[in-house]
Amino acid sequence: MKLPFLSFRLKLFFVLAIIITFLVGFLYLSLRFETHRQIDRSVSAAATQAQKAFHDVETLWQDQLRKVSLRFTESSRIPGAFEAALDEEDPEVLLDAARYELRLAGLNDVLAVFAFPDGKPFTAMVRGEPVSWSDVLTPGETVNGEDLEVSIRYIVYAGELYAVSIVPLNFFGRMLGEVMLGFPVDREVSLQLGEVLNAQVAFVVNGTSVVATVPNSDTFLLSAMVAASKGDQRVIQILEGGSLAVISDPLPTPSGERAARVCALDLKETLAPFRKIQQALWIMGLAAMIMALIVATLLSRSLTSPIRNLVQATDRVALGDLDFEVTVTSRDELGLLARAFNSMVRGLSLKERYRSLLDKVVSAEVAEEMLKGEVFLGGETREITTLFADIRGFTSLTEGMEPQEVIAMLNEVMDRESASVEQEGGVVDKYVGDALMAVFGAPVAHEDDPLRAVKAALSMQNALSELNESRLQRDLPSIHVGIGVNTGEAVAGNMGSHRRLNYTVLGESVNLASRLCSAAGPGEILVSESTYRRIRKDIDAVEREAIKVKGFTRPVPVYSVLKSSPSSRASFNPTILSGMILALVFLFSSVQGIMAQNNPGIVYTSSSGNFQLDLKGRLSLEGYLPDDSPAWLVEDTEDAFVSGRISLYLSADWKGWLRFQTELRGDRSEYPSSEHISGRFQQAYFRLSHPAGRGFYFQAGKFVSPFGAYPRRHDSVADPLIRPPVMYDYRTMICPGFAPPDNNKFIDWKDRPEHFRPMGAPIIWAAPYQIGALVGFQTKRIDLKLGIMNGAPSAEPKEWNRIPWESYSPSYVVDILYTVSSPLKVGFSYSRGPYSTPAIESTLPYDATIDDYIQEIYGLNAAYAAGWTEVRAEIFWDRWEVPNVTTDPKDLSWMAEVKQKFMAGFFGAVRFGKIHFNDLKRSNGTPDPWDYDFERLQVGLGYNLTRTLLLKTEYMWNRTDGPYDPNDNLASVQLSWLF
Amino acid sequence: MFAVIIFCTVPLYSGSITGTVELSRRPATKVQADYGDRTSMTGKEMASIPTVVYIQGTIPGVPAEEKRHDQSIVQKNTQFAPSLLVVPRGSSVSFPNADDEYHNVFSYSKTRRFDLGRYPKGESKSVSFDKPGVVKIYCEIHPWMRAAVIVVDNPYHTMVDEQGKFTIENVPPGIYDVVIWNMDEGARIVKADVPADGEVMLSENWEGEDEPTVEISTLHVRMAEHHSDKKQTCKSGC
Repeated sequence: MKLPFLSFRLKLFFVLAIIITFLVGFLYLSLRFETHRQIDRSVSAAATQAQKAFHDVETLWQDQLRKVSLRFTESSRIPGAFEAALDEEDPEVLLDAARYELRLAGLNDVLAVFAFPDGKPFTAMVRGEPVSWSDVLTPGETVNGEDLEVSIRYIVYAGELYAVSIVPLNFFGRMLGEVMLGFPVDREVSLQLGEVLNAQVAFVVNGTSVVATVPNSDTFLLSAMVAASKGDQRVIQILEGGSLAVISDPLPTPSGERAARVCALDLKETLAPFRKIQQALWIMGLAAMIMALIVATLLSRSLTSPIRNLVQATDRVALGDLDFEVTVTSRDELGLLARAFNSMVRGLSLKERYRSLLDKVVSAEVAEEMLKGEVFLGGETREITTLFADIRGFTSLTEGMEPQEVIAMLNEVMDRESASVEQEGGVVDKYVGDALMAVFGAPVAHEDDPLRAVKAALSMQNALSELNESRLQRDLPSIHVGIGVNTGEAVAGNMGSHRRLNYTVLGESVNLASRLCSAAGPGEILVSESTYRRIRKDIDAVEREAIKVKGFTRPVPVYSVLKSSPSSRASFNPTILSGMILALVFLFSSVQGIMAQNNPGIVYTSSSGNFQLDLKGRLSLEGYLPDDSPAWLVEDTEDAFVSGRISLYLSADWKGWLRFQTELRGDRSEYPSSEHISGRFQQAYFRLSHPAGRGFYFQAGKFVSPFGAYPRRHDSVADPLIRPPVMYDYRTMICPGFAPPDNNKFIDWKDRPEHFRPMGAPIIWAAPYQIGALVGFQTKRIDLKLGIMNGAPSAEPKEWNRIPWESYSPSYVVDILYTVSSPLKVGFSYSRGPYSTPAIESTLPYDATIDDYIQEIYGLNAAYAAGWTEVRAEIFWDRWEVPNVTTDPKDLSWMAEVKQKFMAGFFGAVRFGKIHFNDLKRSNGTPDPWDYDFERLQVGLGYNLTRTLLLKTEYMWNRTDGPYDPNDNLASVQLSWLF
Repeated sequence: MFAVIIFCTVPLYSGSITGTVELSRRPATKVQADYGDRTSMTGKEMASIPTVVYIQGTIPGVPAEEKRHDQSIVQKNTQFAPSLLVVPRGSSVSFPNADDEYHNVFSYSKTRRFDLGRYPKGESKSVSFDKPGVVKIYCEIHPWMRAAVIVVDNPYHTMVDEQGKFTIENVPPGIYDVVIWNMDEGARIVKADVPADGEVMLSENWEGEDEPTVEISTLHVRMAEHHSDKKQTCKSGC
């Protein structure tokens, strides 16, 4: 996965964003930390304060209770009454007295419990009303004031909490008992407490709030406070994200009940300033980010625009435009860069101009040499071959021509001459009027310079004859050129002055070439002896009369080059040609097939483009390893064997409308075996259809039956596995060659000896190639086929070549393929036709004919391809008409297949298929299936070695309930090569 | 500790109940009050707290004593004097206040509940006791003041002397509940079977009807516990 391109702007923004995030994050964290600290501080302060305030209240109560107790103990009244009550076992007198006393004291709400010295309660009173002491304290409890200090405890009575203190009652040196006096902890108390603490206060006993300042409607707060009260120690809880603190302090209870005082502090005020700062921080952070974005955008633009300008400028330079300047906008480094760029462009531009100039003046190679920097006067002696070419009868030719015409003509010729020279690696030294001088061997030398020169000369003459042809058509006179070539030593180098030099060659050999040129007739190439010696192996030349050349003492032998040299020879020997073509074809195809550089096949397209011939081949090799013997539907052996086929596909196409396709196949019979290879025409049909592949089309000939989805795919790249699905690869007990006598016998056929099975009718062949015709209609979504074939899909291969409908009716096929959406296609198929072979007609009972043996199949298929996964499924419902069998045997077969491509050209596939045979009724009425159900599971792994080379491996499990060979597994491997 | 030793003597129609009460020495009851510590007199000056022995209930055939209306319990020096008074049923007792302070005499005893309220020096209030039983009397203002009035239904009662001895004479024969009572210990009821003459046999736990006269030399009774552990002997002939 490629990383997305990070522009400078984006980078800048990110940097800024990161910095800001860090800052804001850090600030936020510190703030949070401080907030938490503040919460803790506030809460502990509040807790302490609560405790203290409550302690103050308790002290108050204590004081009051002490006063009351004193009242009770100091006067003889209560003790006297207590004594009397004890003596007479009459609590009433005591309660009376107590009530009176309390009323006198103005304490009407007091709870009083009188107890025996051992703590066992005797009588009790609440609010002046006597109550059963067992209501107040649970039986078994004692009022125990072990430490006889007056201290506050808490008890619950009738849903109310009382703060009580216990005092012993002594009378005349004897302890009468104990009295527990208590004040109700009522709402008023909690309200007072709440005011002092500025908090909500609740008293919770055993999980219920007995009194609280919290209104009952605030169930959340109440429940939170109750929840906090669980525990034997002080509990502090911070709730609601820090805005509520709940502090619970347990209260001492003599009975061991859980009582606690809970305060709920609203921390919002304490925390308000922190929250404000937090908010401000968020806003600031956000604002800063936006600022960063804006700044990044603006800054980056100003920073990167000069760079972008420069990039654009370099693009222009790359395209060759050197004639501009980049504007320098600033004085910083970028401005420096711009200036440097400009000077560079100027330099390049200058260079370019010099270069092109140089190129025009000298040949490219010379220019190259010169530009290398070693330009010096003087030269070197080397062997070169010089070629002179000039136009014969130039003057007369150009008489009466306008100067422009002359130049035009000259250029025409020179063009071709220079091209020829350069093609052979020579250098055009100069043009002298109508003559051209070329040098082979300087500045760059080749081993075969003389040959090159002569070849150039030949090429020149060829080009000229072509030119003349065209000139003839234009009603122009022909131009003839004479060429002279000589090889010898000469001085090559820069001649002239420092300021102006000319790279050229000098020497006798050069002169000789020139003389030879003059001596050459129109269209003639004359070479010297030295040159001839060098070229004679490759070029045919005939000796001519030696010519007298000025400056040479002896006449110079000359040779005239023959135009029928092998390089221009076109020997059209047909046999050799075809042989060569075939060899080439084979070579080409095998080489490219192995190299897999291009598409397989050879295509020949006519010059008009209307006719196209396509030749493809396919070779596949299979290896099979059966589990045991027999191995149904592959060779009947348990040994491993090799099988395969070779196919040649030839198709001819005319303008896309008409297409003719044949397949020549050689294989080992219809299903894999190790028999000898037989060859035949597997397919031959023509098809008439719209080139765009829409609308009606017509097909006739021998081609694969249009029924079903699998036949089209069988044994091709589209099939990820090697063997077909079981529904296309199963032989039933219905025989095309036998007529079953009756139901019982027919049903019993499924238990026939093993070797009968191969004689049965296949439910449908994996790829039946029958003779027939079909009409189709194709749109973007629908492909509808209506066909008439010469046999049912289960007809035997030997019937496939039968001329249609000679002895029996045809079979009909309907196939509809519908594209629901791009990955999903569903199809429906129907076929009906005779499945048997006319050969048995004579053996048929009664007046039965082959047409009584009808197979009718309904099929549904679906294919789903998305990404690297392909899922296919097919189902058939199949009905056989079998004379003598009263109910038509039926079967249902289906398969599901998943192909999954993996990386690096691997793919895997799993296919499961099953055939289910329906029941038939025996004569006694018992239902019995007419064949054994069969299941097949195929698992395969394949690898695309190259585009044309495919390797598949497969393992198949077969299972049936039948008596023979219930498990029939097969391992297969297939290598197929498209060429 | 309080021990009773009872001897049996059986004079004819002059059965008598005699015994000795062992009185333990105790410090005087000290009571704290807001206004000055005072000491309960009871138990300080006397070696013992006044203890009375009497037969509970009416005795048939014995006329009741004459009612008396002349007795009084004086509040003097913030003490009741006497602190224990035995009166026949139907008598009345006056409670004169001889102190410079107010007193508020009251009793919660079921036998006779009363509250005389406060009255100053020189004034007196009188209370009649029409039911037999024990009446514990206190002063509301002075918590160390206490007294008791025992209202009896028969003439057979006596105070225990300083040595702890007591004798009740001319007791008609019969089985009686003999109550020994004082303010600290409360009541101790002992069954006494007074024969026609001779010694009385006292036994706490009357085991059976055919209880023979058993020689009793000593009888220890312990108070403040509802258990008793005693050994009883009885002379024959009881």
